Amino acid sequence: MKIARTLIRPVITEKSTLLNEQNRYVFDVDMKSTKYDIARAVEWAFDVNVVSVSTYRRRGKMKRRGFREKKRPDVKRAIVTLAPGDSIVLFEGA
Amino acid sequence: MNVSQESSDNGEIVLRLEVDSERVGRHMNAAVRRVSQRVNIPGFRKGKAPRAILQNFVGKEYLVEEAMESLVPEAVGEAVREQELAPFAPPRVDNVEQTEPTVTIVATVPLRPEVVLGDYQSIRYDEQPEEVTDDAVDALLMQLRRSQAYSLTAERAADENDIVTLDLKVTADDELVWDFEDRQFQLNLDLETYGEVFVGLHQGIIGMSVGDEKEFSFEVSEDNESPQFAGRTVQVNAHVKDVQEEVLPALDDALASSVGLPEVETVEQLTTHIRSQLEERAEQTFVNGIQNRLMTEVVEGSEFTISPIIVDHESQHVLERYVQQRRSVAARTGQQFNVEDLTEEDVNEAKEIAEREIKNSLVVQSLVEAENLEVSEDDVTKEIELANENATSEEQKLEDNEETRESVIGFLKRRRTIERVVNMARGQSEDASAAMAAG
Repeated sequence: MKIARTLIRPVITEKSTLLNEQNRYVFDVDMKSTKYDIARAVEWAFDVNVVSVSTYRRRGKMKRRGFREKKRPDVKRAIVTLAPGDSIVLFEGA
Repeated sequence: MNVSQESSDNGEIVLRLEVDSERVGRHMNAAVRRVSQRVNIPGFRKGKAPRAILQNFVGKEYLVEEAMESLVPEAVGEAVREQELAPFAPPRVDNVEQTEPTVTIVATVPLRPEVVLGDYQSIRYDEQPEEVTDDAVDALLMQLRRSQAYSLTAERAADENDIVTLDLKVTADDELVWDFEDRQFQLNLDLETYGEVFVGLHQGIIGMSVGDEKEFSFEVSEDNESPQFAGRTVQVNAHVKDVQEEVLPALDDALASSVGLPEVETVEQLTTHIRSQLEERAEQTFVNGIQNRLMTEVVEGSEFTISPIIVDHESQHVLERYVQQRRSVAARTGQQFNVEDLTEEDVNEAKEIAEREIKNSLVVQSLVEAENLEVSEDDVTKEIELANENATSEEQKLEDNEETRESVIGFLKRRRTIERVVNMARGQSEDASAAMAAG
């Protein structure tokens, strides 16, 4: 898995901001990426040490437009715990 | 907060305020709270996004601007109180400079304008109110008789002021304009009230009797106000069905008492009453005219130091009134009028009106101060009682409290001063003006 393609976007929501206080950061990641890939990608991109990675798949919602019903793509989401003392500036918004 | 007076000129004082970081921080925090409640940031409920994320989302300038909206009026208001200034209109903020972490504000405070009254005591007008002529009284008596007139079928040819029922066909240069066949069209042969077209029509019909049929034509001048007829030859085909004459009631005591005026039962009393009413009206019109001329003359002869901020502020009120008027006129014709539709001419005119109004009110105020007339407690009580007697609803009634008395005193002083100055200009004696003021 190519490191540069692993991380799709950071997730900045109310819930993820609360997790930031526990030094945990949330990303949407490539469907095929493994926890190992994610940890390496975060370490490479933000120059931090990753302690653990949890992942889950968000099922795409079914959306109807007239008669047509389509499924939105599934997304893999990762919660990355950093080593104490590390942080990602992107999430601090400054 | 550090406040210093920079300069004072032209009825204004320029203040420089240095607002401390603690106050700036307080307003920034409040601004963040307000904006956060207002802005919808994806992923966050309203008001829940952290400050840093909110700042990234809306930009720092937006937050600062929001903070300044509450900080500037508060700081300027406090500075004005601290310096014990009495602004005549809201201060104008000239500059807000961010010198982090403090903020420097430059504001101009308009003070009460200064007036040097011209020599109003030597102004004299020799004219007298217009005399009420017998013709004016007769015209009103005739108006009264005509209002009670009734009509009777006339067994004669139609004459002036009769009401004629007829079939009518009117063409202008062979084009049919009116067709009132079998429609019982009624025509009042009142030559004084109607215009050229009707006069031509009326003159043709005068002299016709019931059953008469007549064709006639007349020319209408080019400048006639009705475009259908201007510059054309009008042909009329008329068939008279009925002629009614207007019967005026006799000018007698019965008519006089039917008017329903108290203590008016004879023609003589009615005539005297009408004459005195007309004289009163003439006197009022004359006094109003004198008052306007006098005020204009006093304003022109006085010197003013008025801050442009006051004129701008007042012109905003004038413009608001003007926009309201234009809106109601536009609404009647189903159109719209917006503030954007105001032209530069309107704005300049509003400024002129505002300046005139300010000068007038300053002159009146200065005259009140110069004449320093006394208003007794009894006068105030009487005025409040009079206002309450004339009030048409409970809401219009005045409550007899300190505030009302204060404003009634101001009102009475202004009224009496103007009366006194007008009397002076008419060359009436001090005693007469004092008696009028008391009355």
